[in-house]
Amino acid sequence: MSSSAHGGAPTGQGRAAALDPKREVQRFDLHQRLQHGLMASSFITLVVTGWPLTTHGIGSSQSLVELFGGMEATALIHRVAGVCMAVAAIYHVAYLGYLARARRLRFSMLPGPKDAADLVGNLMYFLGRQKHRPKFPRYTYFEKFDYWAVFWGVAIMVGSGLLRWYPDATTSIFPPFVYEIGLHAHADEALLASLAIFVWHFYNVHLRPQIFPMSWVFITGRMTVEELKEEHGAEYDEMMSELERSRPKTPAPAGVPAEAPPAPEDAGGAKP
Amino acid sequence: MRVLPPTGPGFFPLLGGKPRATLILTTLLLAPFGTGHASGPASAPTTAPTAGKAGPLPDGALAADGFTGSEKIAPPDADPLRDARWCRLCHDDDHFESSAWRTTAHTEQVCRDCHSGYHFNPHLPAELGPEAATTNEGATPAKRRAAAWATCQPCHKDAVPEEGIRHGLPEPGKPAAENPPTCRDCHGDPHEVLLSKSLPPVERRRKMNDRCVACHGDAERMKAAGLDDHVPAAYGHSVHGRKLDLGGERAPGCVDCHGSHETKDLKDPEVGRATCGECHEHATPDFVTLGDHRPFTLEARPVSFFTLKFFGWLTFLTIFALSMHVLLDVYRSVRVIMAANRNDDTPGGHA
Ligand code: HEC
Ligand code: HEC
Ligand code: HEC
Ligand code: HEC
Ligand code: HEC
Ligand code: HEC
Ligand code: HEC
Repeated sequence: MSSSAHGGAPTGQGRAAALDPKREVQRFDLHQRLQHGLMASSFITLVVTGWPLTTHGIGSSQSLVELFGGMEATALIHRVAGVCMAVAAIYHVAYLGYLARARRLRFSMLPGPKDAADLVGNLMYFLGRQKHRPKFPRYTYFEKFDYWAVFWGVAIMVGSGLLRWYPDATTSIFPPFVYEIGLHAHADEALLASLAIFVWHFYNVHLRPQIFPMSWVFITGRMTVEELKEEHGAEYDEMMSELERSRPKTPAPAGVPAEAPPAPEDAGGAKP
Repeated sequence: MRVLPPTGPGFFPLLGGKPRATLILTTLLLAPFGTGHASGPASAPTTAPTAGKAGPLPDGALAADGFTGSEKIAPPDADPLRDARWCRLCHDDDHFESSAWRTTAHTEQVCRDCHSGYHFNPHLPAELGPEAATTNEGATPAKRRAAAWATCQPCHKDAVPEEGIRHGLPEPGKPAAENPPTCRDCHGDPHEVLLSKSLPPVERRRKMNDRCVACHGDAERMKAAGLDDHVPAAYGHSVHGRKLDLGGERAPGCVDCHGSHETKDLKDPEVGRATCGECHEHATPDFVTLGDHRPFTLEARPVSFFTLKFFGWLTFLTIFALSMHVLLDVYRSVRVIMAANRNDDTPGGHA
């Protein structure tokens, strides 16, 4: 990560000295990374096995289906991946429930007025009307957008997928138009989700010059203090003031759950 | 299939400069010309073969060609008119390449089982008879159907009942179709008919679908029959059509739902349920309506219409906004990098 791309003075200068910028903070715990991994792999599988049905007339779709072992096998893989995605979603909701019971749920994903301000600020920055990017909180507005888009997307895709898996049962429970909604919702939401992931999400986490070729946080769960300062300035400031308050104490030990305020961690050399 | 040019002087060059055919023709034409040609206007298709007089096919003519014939074909000294090789001397088309012909369903049949009026050659085009089937320019559709019928039905009494095949649904008040399909419309060139069980299911369905679609997608024909030509497109977009396109072995073709020689009345709830029920265990009469071919228009399927509109706009607007965000981000990043480069350059003072 190059800070030269930032173009501006570093934030929170005074206190930055307190921390080695190369030290790392725990951002996502193992559960979150597993949820992301399951979601990402099932999503990609679903896209490649579902796509041929949309572009069925093209020769390459037919070769793709052959590659998976024929239409029947492709349909089976699609279903298995769909179940994995549903499992990832249930895992996540159960995990949130667990955090809530342990009173560790921070609601940091809920959108708030600061996100609207950040959006405007970021656009101003893009247009050169503002020198610095806004100081983003733990989750930036575009990360929140991703999260809620996936939330809505998974609900739609799993629901409509089930309607389409059992069209005969669907019509014996609901009127036929419910299946029709499911049919189109499944195909069209799939297109929307694929575009959103491959254009938007991949840009934000892979192609953006500041982080190219990619941000490793989805694998390691960790981020350097320097990155945190640039990408989540508000959270960094918060962390710093918290540190200041608990100055005499030693930094929290490794393995702090991510929903808790991230604490610096002695894993300096671990970053790939 | 290539139609050979009419008899006459212009006929020989058009045989494609085949020395064999020309040689045989000149010898044959001059000798028995006119003797037994039974395809004249007055001859009935049932006329018994009388051209035995024409004599056996000269052995040398065949041998010169290396044309050895097959076990299934009677030896040349039997009735030459039962010998396909006679006919193939001139009708030397790809169809009748012995190997190809022998893989078709009619491999046991000789030409004259169907072309009963052709006694000796060159023959005049028959006035009308089974042999004219569908090629005679002057024949009306009704005559062609009658001819095809008289040709094929006698051997296919099991598949084709006495009262004929019933294509389409009789509706009170609706006149019968002007131009219903003939055997050929659905089975193709009779010389190329394959046994359906010799084809893998996907290919068999695709092949028959193509025939149904060729006619049901023909706007003029469908208009004349009071039907709509939207069916092929609707089937093509359906999950069934897509899966068949991608090689799905269980995906139904037109025939799996509509039946073959007797169009099923799928509007009858019981028939519909039984038909879909073959593959979808819990089919209900409501379910059957998912399989019809109504397009996704406001009038025909309003719910689909609005769902598609909703998702269309949602996708367009979302992706537009996201792309703008990405583009602006790229723009700013490029400017920052360029500015950084410029800052690096100036103090360095390369110039
Ligand atoms: C000497 C060459 C020759 C031989 C042998 C021959 N034909 Fe023909 N056949 C022709 C020609 C030439 C035509 C085209 C006639 C026309 O279109 O006017 C023709 C046309 C036909 C047609 C189409 C008639 C139509 O109405 O369009 C049929 C059917 C046919 N032949 C069957 C046979 C059969 C069956 C045999 C064997 C018993 C046979 N032919 C042997 C030369 C031959
Ligand atoms: C199963 C019955 C059947 C057999 C067997 C058969 N034909 Fe035909 N043939 C037909 C029918 C029906 C037509 C009219 C096809 C059409 O155009 O619709 C036809 C048409 C033709 C034509 C007309 C031209 C054309 O363009 O289609 C020729 C020539 C012909 N047949 C030759 C032969 C020869 C030679 C053989 C034997 C090797 C043969 N047929 C065997 C049924 C048969
Ligand atoms: C001389 C008798 C005869 C005539 C005339 C005849 N066929 Fe056949 N056809 C057969 C025989 C025998 C078979 C092979 C049946 C089998 O092996 O199951 C066959 C098979 C077929 C098949 C394939 C059946 C399947 O199981 O897929 C079709 C289609 C067919 N014929 C159509 C026609 C048409 C169309 C005509 C008229 C142009 C015609 N046949 C005229 C004897 C005849
Ligand atoms: C509307 C289209 C259509 C028409 C017209 C039609 N067929 Fe068929 N025929 C079919 C279909 C579909 C099948 C089922 C086989 C398949 O799917 O390949 C079939 C099967 C057959 C079979 C095999 C029978 C069996 O029980 O397996 C024969 C023989 C046959 N047809 C002969 C004829 C003859 C002769 C005519 C003309 C009198 C004719 N067909 C007209 C569509 C048609
Ligand atoms: C050569 C043209 C042609 C071909 C080929 C053809 N059809 Fe038809 N079809 C018609 C015509 C014409 C009608 C209208 C019949 C009538 O009104 O009596 C019709 C009617 C129908 C109907 C009834 C529609 C209704 O609601 O009245 C169905 C279903 C149908 N065809 C299915 C098929 C299938 C399946 C095939 C392929 C195996 C096929 N058709 C091949 C011309 C064709
Ligand atoms: C999944 C089963 C299924 C398949 C496959 C299917 N149809 Fe139909 N089709 C139906 C049902 C159900 C109806 C509605 C009942 C009716 O109106 O007769 C229908 C109606 C029709 C009609 C008359 C109504 C209209 O919309 O014009 C025609 C013609 C027709 N089908 C032709 C075809 C053709 C041609 C194919 C193949 C390309 C085909 N069908 C494939 C189930 C099917
Ligand atoms: C020859 C078997 C067969 C027949 C008959 C058949 N279907 Fe299907 N149908 C399939 C297959 C295979 C699929 C693909 C489903 C899968 O991948 O599990 C399918 C899928 C469907 C789907 C879509 C499921 C989805 O993916 O959204 C609907 C709706 C449907 N069929 C309705 C019908 C209706 C209505 C009928 C009767 C008019 C019918 N089918 C008749 C084999 C059949």
